[in-house]
Amino acid sequence: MTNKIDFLTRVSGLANLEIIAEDNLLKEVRFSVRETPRLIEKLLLGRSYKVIPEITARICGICPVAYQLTALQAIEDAFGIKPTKEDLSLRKLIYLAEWIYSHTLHLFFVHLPDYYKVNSFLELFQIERELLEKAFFLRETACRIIEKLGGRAIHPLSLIPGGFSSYPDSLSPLIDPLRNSLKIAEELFTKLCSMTFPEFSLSEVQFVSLLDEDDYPILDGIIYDGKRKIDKRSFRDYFLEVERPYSTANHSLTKEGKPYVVGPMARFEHAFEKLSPRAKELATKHGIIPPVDNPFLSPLIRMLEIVHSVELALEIAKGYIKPKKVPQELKPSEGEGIGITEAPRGILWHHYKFDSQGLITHVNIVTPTSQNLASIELALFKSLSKEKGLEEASIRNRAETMIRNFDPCLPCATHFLEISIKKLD
Amino acid sequence: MILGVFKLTSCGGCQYSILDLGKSLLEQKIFYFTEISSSNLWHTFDVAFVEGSVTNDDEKELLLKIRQKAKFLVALGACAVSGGIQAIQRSKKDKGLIFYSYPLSDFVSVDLELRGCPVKSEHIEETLFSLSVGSVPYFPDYPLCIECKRKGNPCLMITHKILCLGVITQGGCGALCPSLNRGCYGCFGPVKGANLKAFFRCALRMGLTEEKIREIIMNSFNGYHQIFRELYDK
Ligand code: SF4
Ligand code: SF4
Repeated sequence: MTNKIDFLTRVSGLANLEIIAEDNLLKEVRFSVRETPRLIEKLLLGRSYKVIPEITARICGICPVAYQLTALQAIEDAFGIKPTKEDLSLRKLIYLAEWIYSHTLHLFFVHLPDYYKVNSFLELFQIERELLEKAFFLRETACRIIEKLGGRAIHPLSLIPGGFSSYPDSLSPLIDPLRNSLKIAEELFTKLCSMTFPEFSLSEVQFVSLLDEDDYPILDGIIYDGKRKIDKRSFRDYFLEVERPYSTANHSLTKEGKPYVVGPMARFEHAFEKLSPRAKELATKHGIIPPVDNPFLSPLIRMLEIVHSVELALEIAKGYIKPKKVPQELKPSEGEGIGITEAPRGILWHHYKFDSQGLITHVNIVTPTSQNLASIELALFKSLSKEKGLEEASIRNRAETMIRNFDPCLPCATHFLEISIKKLD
Repeated sequence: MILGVFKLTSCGGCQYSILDLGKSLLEQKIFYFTEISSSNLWHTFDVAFVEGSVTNDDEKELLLKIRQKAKFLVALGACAVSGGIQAIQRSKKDKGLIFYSYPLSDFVSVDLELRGCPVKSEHIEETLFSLSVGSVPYFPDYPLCIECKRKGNPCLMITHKILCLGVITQGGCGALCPSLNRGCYGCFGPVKGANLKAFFRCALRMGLTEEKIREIIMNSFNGYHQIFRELYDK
C-alpha cells in the first residue's frame, strides 16, 4: 500500500510525502521535493564572479543574505582580499537580522499553528493575538535592519566583495526597536517554555555545525561533527551528496553513510556556551541545555537563537561608527575559493573556480536543507512507525509537524547542476 | 476580498512580502496560500497573486486554472513578469536538456504586473487598497533615472563611469542601487519604450562589448522580458 500526501502545506516550497507500507507495517517514507530545479549552478558557468552574490541570492527568498555572504567569502578567498573588522561586524549584523527574520517567519507563522491545532497563523490570531503581534514586531525589526544596511529586506543590495558599497550614517534608529525586541523575544521564549512538546529522540544522527573560537558560529568557522574538526576545504571528503530518484533534491550523508543534522539544534549542541548572556541565562533557567535530541523542541532552540541574535545585533548597532572607506574594485585571477557560513537552517557551503578573467569554471553549492533531508526521512520513519493506522488523515498532522521541526526550505534544496532525474516538458 | 496566493517556479521571496501587510492581512479572506495555511480552497478569487515562472506543463495547467478562478490576476515579481533569472538558460540548451521558463503573460492575460525581484510590499498594499475601493492601482511607468534624479543622486554613469541600467529600467523601487553607490542591475525590468539602441551606444562608449552588454541585460532577472527578447532571438 502506498499512501501519498500530495502538496504538503506550510512548508517553504513544494513537496509530497509518500508512505509505503505492507500489511499496515511501515516500509519506507519518502519526502519528495517537487520544486522545479532552476539550475542556478549551471547558469553561473561562464559568467563573471561579480554576478554570484546577486544570482545565488535568488536561490532562496527567505535567506538571501546567507547566500550573498557565503558567496562573498568564497570570492574573497579566491582573490585574496580581506574585509575589515568593521565590515565583518556589519555583515554579522545583517546576517543576525536574517536569522531573526527567518526563525520568526518559520516559528510563528508556519510552525506554531500546529501546537494550537489550527490551519494557519491567521486563525491563530483569533486565539493568541498578542503573541502574534509580538512576532510581527520581531519580523519588522529584522526587516528594518536589513533595509538600513542593504536598501531592502529581501535580496539586499549593498553587499559586495571586500565590504559594502555604501554605509548608513547612523544605526541609532535601530536601537529602540532592538531593545523592545529583546524584551519581546525573552517573553516569547518564556511563553513557549510553558507549552508541552511531544517526546521523541533522534539520538542516532550526528549534529554538524561550525565552531568559532570566540562566537556562536555564524559568519565562518571550522566544521565540527561532534568528534572531528574539519576544514572547509575538506568538506567534500567528509560529506557526500546522493541523488534520490523520487525527488528533485539531493540528499547528503556523512562519508560513513549516515544522515546528519545541521542548523539550530546542531549549533546549540556544539556552541551552547557561546550563546549571548541573556540567551544562555534564560535557557539555563528553563532547563533547556544540551544535549537535546528531540526535534520537537526545535521551536525553543529557534526562539533562543532569536534572543541571542537580537542581543548581539543590539550590541553591534550601539557600537556603530560609520566606516570611512568604500572598497575598491578587485583584480580577478585564476583560482578557486570556498565559503562556509551558518545560514538560519545550518551550514551553507559554496565552492567556485575562476579563470584569469574571473569567469566561473566550476560551481558547487551545498545547502542546509539538502543536508537535512536524509535525517528528516529518518525522523519521519521513526515517528510514523509508532502510528497505529497509516491513513492520510491520522498521519498528516504528525508527519507535517515533524517536517516543520527541521524548517526545510525546498527552493534551497533544489538548485543543482543538471536535471538527470525528471524531464521537464 | 477573497485572495489566493500561488507559487510556480521561484525563490519564494515575493510571496512572503505579503506578510509585510501585517495585521491588515486579517481584513482579507485568504482562501489559498499553501505556504502559510493548511486549509486551501479553490474559490472565485477577487485577487490571485501568482509568484514564479512557468517551467512545465503542470504549472501551465495550474496557471490556466487560476486564471479561470481569478477576477483579477496579478503577476507577482520578476519571475512571473519576465520568467526570472531561470529564464535565461534557454540559450544553453545542451546535452538534450530541455528547460524553459516563461512569464505568465505568455499563457494567460494578466491584469496587473508588479515589478521587482522581489516586489515592493507597498505595491501589494497599494494594489489591494485600490481594488477594494474600485479603482485601478497606478505604478510608475517612467524610467528609474527620474526617481534617481528626484533623490538628488549624481549620475553614476557620468560621474563614476559605472554602468547603470536605470535608463532602461522601470521606476518603482525608489532608485535603491544608485543611492547605495552601485549601478542598477535592472530588477524592476525594462520600462515601456526603453531605448535599447541608445543604451547600447552609451555602454559601448564606456568600453563594453556588445556581447557583454547583452549578458548584463540577461542577468537583470528580467532577461526574457518581452521587450528584451529581440536582443537574442535573432
Ligand atoms: S521575482 Fe525574484 S524575489 Fe520574486 S520569486 Fe522571483 S527570484 Fe524570488
Ligand atoms: S535600482 Fe535597479 S536593481 Fe536596484 S532595486 Fe532598483 S530596479 Fe532593482
